[in-house]
Amino acid sequence: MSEEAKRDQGTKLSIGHFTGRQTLEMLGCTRCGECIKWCPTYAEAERDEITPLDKITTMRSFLLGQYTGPLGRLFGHRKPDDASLARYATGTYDCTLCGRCHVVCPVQIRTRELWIAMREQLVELNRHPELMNRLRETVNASHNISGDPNERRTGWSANLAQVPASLDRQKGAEVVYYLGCVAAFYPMVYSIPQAFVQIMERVGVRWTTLGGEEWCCGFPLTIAGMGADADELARHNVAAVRELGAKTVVMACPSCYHTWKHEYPHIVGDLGFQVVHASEFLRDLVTAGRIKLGAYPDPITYHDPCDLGRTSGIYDAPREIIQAIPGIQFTEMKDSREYSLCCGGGGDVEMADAALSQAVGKRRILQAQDTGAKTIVTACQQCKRTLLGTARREKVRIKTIDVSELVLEAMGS
Amino acid sequence: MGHERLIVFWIAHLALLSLFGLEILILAWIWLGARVPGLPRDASRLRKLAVIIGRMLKGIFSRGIITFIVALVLDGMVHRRLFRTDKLRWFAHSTVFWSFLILGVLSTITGVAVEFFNPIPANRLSPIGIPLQNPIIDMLVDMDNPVTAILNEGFGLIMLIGLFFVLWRRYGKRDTQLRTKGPDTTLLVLLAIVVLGGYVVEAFRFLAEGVPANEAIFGPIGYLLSLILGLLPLSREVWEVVHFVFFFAHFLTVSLLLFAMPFSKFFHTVMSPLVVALNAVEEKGGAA
Repeated sequence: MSEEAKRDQGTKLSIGHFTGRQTLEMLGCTRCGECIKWCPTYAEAERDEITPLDKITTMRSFLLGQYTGPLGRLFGHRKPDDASLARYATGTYDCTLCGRCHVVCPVQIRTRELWIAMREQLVELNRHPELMNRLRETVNASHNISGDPNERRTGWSANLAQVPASLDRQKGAEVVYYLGCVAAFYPMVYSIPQAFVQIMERVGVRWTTLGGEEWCCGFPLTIAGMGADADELARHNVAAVRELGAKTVVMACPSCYHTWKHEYPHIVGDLGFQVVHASEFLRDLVTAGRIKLGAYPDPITYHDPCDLGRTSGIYDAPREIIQAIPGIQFTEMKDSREYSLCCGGGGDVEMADAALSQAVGKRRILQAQDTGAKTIVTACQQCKRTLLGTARREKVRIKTIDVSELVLEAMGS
Repeated sequence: MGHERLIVFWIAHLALLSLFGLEILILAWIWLGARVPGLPRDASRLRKLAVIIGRMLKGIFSRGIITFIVALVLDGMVHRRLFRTDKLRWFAHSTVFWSFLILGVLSTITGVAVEFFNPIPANRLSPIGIPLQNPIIDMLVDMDNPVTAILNEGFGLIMLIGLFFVLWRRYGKRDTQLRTKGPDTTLLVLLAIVVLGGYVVEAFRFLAEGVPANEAIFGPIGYLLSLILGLLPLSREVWEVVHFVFFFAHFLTVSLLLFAMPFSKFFHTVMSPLVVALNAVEEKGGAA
């Protein structure tokens, strides 16, 4: 093989990674730059390759350069080379996939899906960050993102006053509580599953978990551009729930929720059970009068997790729970709902560029502080972990809790 | 304009149109290489095309077509989202977009009308049964008709105002979100040349054809220019040559813009309304 052919092999793009719609979207980008104003990672790093605009124009130019030859070159389009691909790859992975760019785009380009397709392309070309390979190996070998033995998924329950009898794969349970890797393996957020199961116990919900049979939902691989590896995880998880015969799967993790609700049906067809997020589940219990809420002492604000809000369209359920607390002092942050700022914990950026992830989180913590709130409520274990870590690092005295912890506290003893 | 000159014009015009067509074909070929949901990734382009046409037809005869049209008009052409975001940007964009569109349509209709329906055969009907001898065609064929002249000059002026704001944002105010590169400047310069050149060509036409003042006045900018240029001691024959040269240059600039469209940022004028309308249909859950 000639040197040129070898070089081309590592830089040759396949348009087959993109759908026809995405190709049209790349051609339809007006280059107005509205996305730049709203991009949380660009706001911190100010490197142009991070901007949605740059990613789209670069990929469009790569494709035109590759497929149109001299005619394309006349307009400045070049097929990618090592340097341009490296720059593009950095920008593509330094993105939290928060999807804010989609909300403000005048053309309504579905940016999040586009960034994932771009990452798939980069994985095929072996231009992705090396850490993503380690993530893939870990998930494939341990079925979780931390690399701990998967049987320890219920380790968080050890600190409960009484370990619930139905904890591990109880047949006949009506609800399967799917924890997600973060809640299961990161002690910093153990309080979320602890709170959630205590609520279910007190309300009398017949629930269980998948125990060691709970595998990673596949979300971290999908967003890394390694979606093909997630199919087996999906099949296993769905089969495990079906085996228990539960009618509902509930999860506190919005990323797991999105994957189960919107991605799994594409892989396994009709699930045969319903998928709900913990905030919806708790809201329904509150609305039905099964949960009685008392007062909560501190003024609070609410952080919309990207995968719950923009990606899955759930903005109201957590707010309805908050508003159901008598006398609650609730203030929205400057950027909320569809314009909410990312906590910095999304898109695997923490792995690709930890400092950038922290910088994004800092901005959000400061926004929360500006409301005068003493507590940030969120509905995501990853957001809680990121915000908690940022607040500690920045020495900001603000408490970060999940909506299930808020509910448990407001329920009293 | 002499017969030979028109032949040169049409040969050049068709050649440039063919180039534009070739670019569109290349883009379509690339596009058909992309994945079509529901089909294997390695499906042939022909198969993809057949499926896409099928889905399009299904979409046309579904309720989604209403959503498509509403989004196409309100978001793709009236740009209501941009209006809510920034009124000045909306004004600049809309004036350039609509003027370019309307002037392009007017010029095309006039060109076709002049070439094919002038002189109009008596009692001849158009393919849809409308007599060709009617006031609208008469108006479009006659560039000195007050309505045609005012429309052409008016929209040219509106476009210039819009271009001023576009240039001011990009090079004066320097909005931080903008990324100005060579091709952006080239396109804006070409657009400005097209509009300004249009006025110059009009002035030369007034001089070449000896259009009387009471008719030329409906194109006031061109008329004013012709009064100034007319101070030069040149014969009508010379003005005819000058007019043709400038007309040809004007036409080449427009063709250059057309040629640049598919492979440049300029293509968003066609694609973004389509994308916004398709996404609106999908958001509502209709067939797209």
